[in-house]
Amino acid sequence: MTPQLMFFPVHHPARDGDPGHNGDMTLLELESGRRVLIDVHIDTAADDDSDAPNVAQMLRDRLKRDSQGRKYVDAFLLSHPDEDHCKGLDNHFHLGPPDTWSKEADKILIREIWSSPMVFRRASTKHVLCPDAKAFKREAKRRVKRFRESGNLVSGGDRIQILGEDESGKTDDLTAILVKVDEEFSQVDGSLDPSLKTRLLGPLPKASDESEEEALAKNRSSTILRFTLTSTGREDACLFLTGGDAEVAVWERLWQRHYWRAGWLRYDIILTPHHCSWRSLSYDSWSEKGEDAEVCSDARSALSQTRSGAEVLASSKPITDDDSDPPCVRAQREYEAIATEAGGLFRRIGDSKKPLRYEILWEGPRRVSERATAAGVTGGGAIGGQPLIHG
Amino acid sequence: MSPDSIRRAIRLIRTHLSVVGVGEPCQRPGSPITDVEIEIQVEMPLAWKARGTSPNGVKAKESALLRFSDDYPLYAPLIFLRPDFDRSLAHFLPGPPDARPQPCIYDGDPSELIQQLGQHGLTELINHLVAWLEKAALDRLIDPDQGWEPVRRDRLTDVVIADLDHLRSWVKKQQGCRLLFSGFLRLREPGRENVYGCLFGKKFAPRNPSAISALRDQTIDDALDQGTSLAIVVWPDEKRIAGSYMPETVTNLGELKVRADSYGCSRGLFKVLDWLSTTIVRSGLYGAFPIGIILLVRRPYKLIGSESSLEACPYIIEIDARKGLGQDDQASVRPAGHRHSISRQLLQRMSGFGDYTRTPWVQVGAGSLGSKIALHLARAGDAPSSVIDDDTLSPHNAARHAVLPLPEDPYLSWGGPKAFAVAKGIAGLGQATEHYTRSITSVTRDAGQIRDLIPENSWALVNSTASLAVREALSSISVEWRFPRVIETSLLSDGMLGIVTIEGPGRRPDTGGLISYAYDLMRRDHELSLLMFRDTTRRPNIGEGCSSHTMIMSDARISLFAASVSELIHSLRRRGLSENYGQVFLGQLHRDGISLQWRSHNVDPFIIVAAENSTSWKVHVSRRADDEINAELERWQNVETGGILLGRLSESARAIYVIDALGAPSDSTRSASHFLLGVLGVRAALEEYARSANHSLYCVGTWHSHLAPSAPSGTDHATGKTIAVARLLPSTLLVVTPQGYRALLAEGAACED
Repeated sequence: MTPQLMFFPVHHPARDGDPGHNGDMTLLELESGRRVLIDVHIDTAADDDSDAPNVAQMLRDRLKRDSQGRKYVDAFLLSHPDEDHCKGLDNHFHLGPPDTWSKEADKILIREIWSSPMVFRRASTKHVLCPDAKAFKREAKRRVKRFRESGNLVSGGDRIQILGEDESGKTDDLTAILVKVDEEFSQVDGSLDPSLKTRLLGPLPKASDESEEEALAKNRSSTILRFTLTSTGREDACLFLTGGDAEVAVWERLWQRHYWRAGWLRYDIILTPHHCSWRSLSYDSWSEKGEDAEVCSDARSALSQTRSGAEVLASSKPITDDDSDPPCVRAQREYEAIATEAGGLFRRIGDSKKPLRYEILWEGPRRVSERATAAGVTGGGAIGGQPLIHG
Repeated sequence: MSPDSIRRAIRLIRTHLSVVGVGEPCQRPGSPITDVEIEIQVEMPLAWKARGTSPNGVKAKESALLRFSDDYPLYAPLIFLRPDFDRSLAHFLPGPPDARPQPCIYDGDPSELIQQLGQHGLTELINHLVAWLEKAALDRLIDPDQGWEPVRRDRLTDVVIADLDHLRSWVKKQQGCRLLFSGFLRLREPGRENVYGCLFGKKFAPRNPSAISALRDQTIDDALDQGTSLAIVVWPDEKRIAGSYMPETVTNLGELKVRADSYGCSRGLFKVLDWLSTTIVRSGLYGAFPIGIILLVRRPYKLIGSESSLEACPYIIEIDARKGLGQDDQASVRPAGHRHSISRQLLQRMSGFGDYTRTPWVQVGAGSLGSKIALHLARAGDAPSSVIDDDTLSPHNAARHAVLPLPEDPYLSWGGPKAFAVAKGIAGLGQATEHYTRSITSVTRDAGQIRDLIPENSWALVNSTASLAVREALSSISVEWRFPRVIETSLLSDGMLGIVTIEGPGRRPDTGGLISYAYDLMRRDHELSLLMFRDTTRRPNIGEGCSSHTMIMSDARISLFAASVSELIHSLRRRGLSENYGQVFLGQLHRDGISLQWRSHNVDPFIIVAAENSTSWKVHVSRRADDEINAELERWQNVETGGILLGRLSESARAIYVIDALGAPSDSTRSASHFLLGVLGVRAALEEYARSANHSLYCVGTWHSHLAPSAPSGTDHATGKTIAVARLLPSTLLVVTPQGYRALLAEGAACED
């Protein structure tokens, strides 16, 4: 099948007292037919509000059912356990042993979880996990326990890969399911999948320098991956870089680690970290320094290893010209500049109510244009869309 | 086009996400045309997009011209690309090389698309344009997996009609050329160019003056000429593969030369054309003759939807008999569209029926129902191999016969055999059907004659004669003659009821048994029995002092049933006849006169028992009768028991069909050595039974059991005689033994032996 990258429009603008939200949900459909989901954000508004894009249904429409009638993803990666990256997980995904999956609930089965080692950390008072993140952590722990109990003899629905080593050695006995930073792997759901190579760039190991560690500690848990997707015999038909909410110190450090092999950071498509946040590009506060805030050159370098025509995507609510962050209008300008230098475009995913979709051809990724639909033409427009006073 | 319509159209176009620019509408004063330039974002691989163009020159932002006529929205706007758009990218409508190219963006009529989708139609058209440009950028307008996309010839008015499979069968490895006789039509309309149609025949024309002398041009009326001309088919050497796409742009002989050269067809074509031009000038003929040309171009892979990689590129040249083609290469050449000639394959495709093994089948009866069935099947490319009917057409048949009476062919309305008329209609559908004007009943006793009429490997024989004599005659045909299974179709009760019976494997059950079964079904259904068992035949006046024994009903009503029956037969042709049982279909017209409901019944093969005292009579026992008898045997295991047999008999087929078995009356007596059939209530019960079936079913004898394997006893023979004396109809005494059935015929002649 033609591989695809799909970014779901999980964000909506502020309205009626709702401040709007950022959020991530990305689906990789591989040439092998396997599907890897990165983060999930299915708002209750999307469940209830007929006007919001029904991203749950959009996702389900893309998934196959297995021989037991279960919709499934081959792998699910939670980049980091913030609510805007895991909302709706418990509601829409089956968590627990696969044999407890119920037809009535008809939730999506996750064959393999890709998790950072954060599941081994103790609950922190500084960083309180949302219910979905807690559910994820429970499920990841269950799977690690299953692995420990049965060796590597687990099957789809129980599998897990840990992306990065735990600092306190809790992953030392997990070699078979552990991917170390800087490694590239091609395992999906227990099988070698030649249509995808995934390089683990972060979370970065604990820094020896104390001040550096302090800078890195915040949001260091975000998993940073560079995916290489194969299409019709071309191994690197598409390079996709995604880094959760990783902030400037992480990107700066990444550049310093990899500038001499910058190809590791190269991309056709990047999901800008932290929903187009200024804090991924600069140590300076946008709200305080405004236009005087300076871009961290190394972080920018890490984030601008574009291939020709690269597209830079923001998974954010609409970007406003004010001092809010994220998303930040200054970050948008910087990313637009990066895209322009590559001859590409900056896009906000939520600008359409449909998923932003790229098909990966031998010639490289190509955005799938949106067809005009009959509903768009014959829909009620204002009728039913807004209150209409009649005298 | 009203200003309102164009405003709305432009507003709609602006909303399209791929349309990034819309120019001001431009209407020349007094012109019915409004042009609107639009700019389209063409999604392509990101690196190409960064360069602003695909490697084959499609721009990331392409302009297109939408040309609205004043008929919009009745007609879709024409769509043109920029003049320098690469025309080798396939999917272009034919047009002169100096005009802006028109992409073929929709596989159908864009105006119909607009009508079909209403307000959404125009945006859907833009969707198609965007998709076309995106595919063009990727050079995927032709997908080798799907096949070679033939050069678009959609809007060409001239056509050539040819059986391409036949033409392709001539192609050898070396280049070649054939001259054929062809028919032509010339449609004339004042103020407009003539329109030509060339019908490629299959008969080769000699390359000598005699071919020219066969040319004819006849004026039919003010607008139509018809005649005989010549046609040329040319193909290149096998090494000349034309792998690049060229839209149709030829307008004159010089351009045709260049085009034919690129296909490797030039030498063969112009050798014939030069000869033709010279010879026709010398012939002394007047007028101009359209010459059809088909270049069979070798493509790198198979054409879409075809098993061949030879693409037909047709043209028509009108050659003036006094001037020839001239020397300046400026003679007009008209690219033409191709239409398949009527053939079995074309009709199969159009009917949506895939290929299946077409063993011959035979239609008996070419009257109103039979002619419709034969032609329905023929229109689906599955005509009967032969049609048999000894009747001739009369003017009153025009009311319902499928073949249209033609004023210029009175034989088709009066005097012509019905079988001939049907075969002639089928011939027009590109298939060959033998017609026989003999009565099938006259040949059923002669194996040799049957073999003459019915092909040995026939799949089935469809009897639509509505003749009881034919049914009887078909039933009487010896099983050893390997006669095909019979499907009988008939209409009853003023077309309120239709019956189809399909014989089982080895003709078991046969039509006689199936009809008996059908009578029993109707007897048991009050509504059906009311319909079935009333006499509705009337003798309509068909001329002074003449009448015809038929039912009065409309052509359309017969068609209601004929359509169902034809679909059924077609389905059976594809799926095959059952290898396990026969079938009865009963179709009933609802009181509303338009709804038709069919019910089907599977009928197990009858058990056939030869009468021991007859050389020809056989007793056919239905599964139901067998079950009823066995149920009685269960009740009376240690004594002989018996009862009465119900059904019908066929004198011609020498068959007694047993449909039901009644238990014995209460005054019967049973012992281990004999069974005495009583009389209490029997007469009344039999009368009631026969009456309920309007005497189509009746008592056909008795049955009784023997406890040990044994032949009919002396007592049985004596009882047989008694029955024979007292009954006018032959009857049977059926004996059930532990080893199966034995039968005696109780009939005068048999019992005297």
